[in-house]
Amino acid sequence: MKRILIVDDEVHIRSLLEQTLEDIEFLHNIEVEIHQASDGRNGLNMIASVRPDLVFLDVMMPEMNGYEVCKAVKSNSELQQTLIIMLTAKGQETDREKGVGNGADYFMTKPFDPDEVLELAGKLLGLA
Amino acid sequence: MEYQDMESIRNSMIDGRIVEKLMSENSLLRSEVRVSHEAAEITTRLVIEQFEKAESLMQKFESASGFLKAVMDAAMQISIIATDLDGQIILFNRGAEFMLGYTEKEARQMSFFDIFDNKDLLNNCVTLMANTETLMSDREKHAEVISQISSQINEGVFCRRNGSRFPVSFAITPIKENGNIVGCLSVAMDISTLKHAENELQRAYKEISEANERLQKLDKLKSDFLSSVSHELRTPLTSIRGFSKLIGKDFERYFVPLTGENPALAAKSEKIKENLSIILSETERLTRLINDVLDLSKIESQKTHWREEAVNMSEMLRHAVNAAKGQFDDKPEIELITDIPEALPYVFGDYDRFVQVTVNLLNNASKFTKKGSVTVHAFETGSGFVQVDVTDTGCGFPQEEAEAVFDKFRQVCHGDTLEEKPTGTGLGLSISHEIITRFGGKIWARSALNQGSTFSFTLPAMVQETGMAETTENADGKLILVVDDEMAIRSLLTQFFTSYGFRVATADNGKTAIDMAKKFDPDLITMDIAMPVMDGKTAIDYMKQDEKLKDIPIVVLSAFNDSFAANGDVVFDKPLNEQRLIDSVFMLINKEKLKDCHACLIICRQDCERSVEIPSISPKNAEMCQPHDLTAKLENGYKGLVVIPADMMDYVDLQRISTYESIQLLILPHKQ
Repeated sequence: MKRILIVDDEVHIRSLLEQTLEDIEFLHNIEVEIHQASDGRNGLNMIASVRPDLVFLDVMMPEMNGYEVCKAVKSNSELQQTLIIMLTAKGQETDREKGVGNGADYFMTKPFDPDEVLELAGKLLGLA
Repeated sequence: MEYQDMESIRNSMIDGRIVEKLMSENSLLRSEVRVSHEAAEITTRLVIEQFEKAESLMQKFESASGFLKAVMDAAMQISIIATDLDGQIILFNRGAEFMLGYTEKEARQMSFFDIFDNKDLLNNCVTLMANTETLMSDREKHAEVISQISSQINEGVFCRRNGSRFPVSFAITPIKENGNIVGCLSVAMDISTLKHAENELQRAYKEISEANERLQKLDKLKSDFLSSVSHELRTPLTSIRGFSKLIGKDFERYFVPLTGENPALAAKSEKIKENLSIILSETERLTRLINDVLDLSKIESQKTHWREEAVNMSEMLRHAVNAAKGQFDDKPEIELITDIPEALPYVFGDYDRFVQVTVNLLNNASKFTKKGSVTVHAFETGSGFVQVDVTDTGCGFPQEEAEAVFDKFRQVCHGDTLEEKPTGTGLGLSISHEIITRFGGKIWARSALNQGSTFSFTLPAMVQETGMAETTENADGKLILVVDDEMAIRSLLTQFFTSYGFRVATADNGKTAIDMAKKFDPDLITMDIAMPVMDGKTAIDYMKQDEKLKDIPIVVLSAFNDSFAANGDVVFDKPLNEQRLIDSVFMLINKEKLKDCHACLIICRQDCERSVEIPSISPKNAEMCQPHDLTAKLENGYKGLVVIPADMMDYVDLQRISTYESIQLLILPHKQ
């Protein structure tokens, strides 16, 4: 069983990612539990409580932005194994630099392609 | 008596001698009259001459008095006031009367301080007075103050009789008698017009800087806005794109099987899939547009980071053609032809950006062409550039619009020649234009309606292969690295050295020069001194420390830089001495003797003898010179070569001597 957490303040993006990721069960024949958080602080709390294998983390969010969440996770010895995919906007190269600086594992540029999301998640979860 | 006279005359008349005498007297008289007549004429002439002289003198005097009057009038604009040491006015000229409204008589009853108002200066005087307390009397203090503030030009305010004030510029001169100051003379000029103009100027300046500040704020606002808009647009775009895909997938997975054998439903499902793919392709287009807008705005606001490196044009073009191939796979009626030589020269710039330009041109070509061919042709121009032509057989456009196509959001195409609306963002060519110009190239278009079009761009070639016909046996394809921050100089030297059969690489700063020297191992380097990022001196110092680079001879070409950059014309002779330069280069590269080397200074150590081992330089023309004598020699107008062995570099001020235009500076590598 794999746990995935989606942290984004946009309900449609959460829904899109959720529906996309549900296909992992179909494709890899493995149970997937998908959780959602709508802001950074909540997201960080859920990373600690749910202990997801993979987190999709938006950058621009209320309460706590994606970098702060990422930094907090990667500097916590219990949580730092959590894989983080940051959702950034293209054209903002600084996003990427900041993300790397804060320990993000991977980046996806909006608007992303659901097929790429599936492929990347599968790869990072060791399912491919 | 009368009778007697008459008698005598009668007698005389009889006497013919008397008649004769009378006649001679008569003629004498006549000649005297003639002489006196002539004398009168001369006198008249002289008088007239005198009159004329007097007249011209009077005229001169008149004009002189006009001049005097002008001086007087001018003096009317200047107030001249003299005071004694108590400040009592003792002289008050017409200018002062005119300026201040007092008559001289009135003014003589007044103190200078009644009309003069300058707090700063008065305070200054008070301080000075306080400091001169040790002096005996007030008069001595005044004298001291006058001597202190004299010969300074100050600004102050004068007060007119009617109480109005106006700004003046004035100077104070001490009046001396027997070496002692007895008073002062103040000369002042009304500067209210000047002040007014100055204030106006200041106001205008303030307005402009405020406007500028507003513009800068607006510009930042624009950039921020674009950046956040792009960010905000991405979220809905992500949803549209993602959900369309999901719908498509679900539809394919769950609903298409349900259509079964029903042909109406099957057709409908095809239509649904087609509509979904339109949504997807439009999303892609919108995404590209956002990316392009952002890209262009960054380039325009100079926030783009450009890579500057040697770019293999052949490789770059093949890469770009591969990237754009997909466009042509869908259009079998268009043939993609490539004519890219293997050994194109390198150019200097940003590889990815050049790919972007080429791909953009290829995409445009495929977009606007229904059938026929698209050709990529690359070649080296005779003038030191690499040119790339992308030619299509598409709809084309009128040649008058060839420049406009590079404008933003401009697509020159006509409804009847292309069935669909073009799907580009309208920004690709603007971006391409920015990129190519950034690296010293040109981009342009040639076309005619319905006759296809050719888009071309050039970039300055970095390494030029030897022109076969012109090769001289001496150059032998040796590589020279030209380092200069001025594009014009790089291009000039490239052409110059190429004409002698050298290959040339260029770099625009010291840092790049070091990288390139390591990469290409040039046979010689020409180095400018003043450059951004890393100056020439630092680069030379580094190279001379570097095991791999220390043996590369360096020619410093600095001074002629300025004069060149100024007008950008290609002129060889002044102040660059091309013959001396090429001689030096051949000497350093081929280790042969300098031909006709007229003057040559070799910097050497104190203990150094004439027999210093610089075999390549004819000893009879060379003169040894110790570092501390060099400056004097240069100041005295020495013209010619200055040779500095690398181990002597620390003893000379390279920066400074490179500014002398008359010399050519050679740095010899360490002895091997």
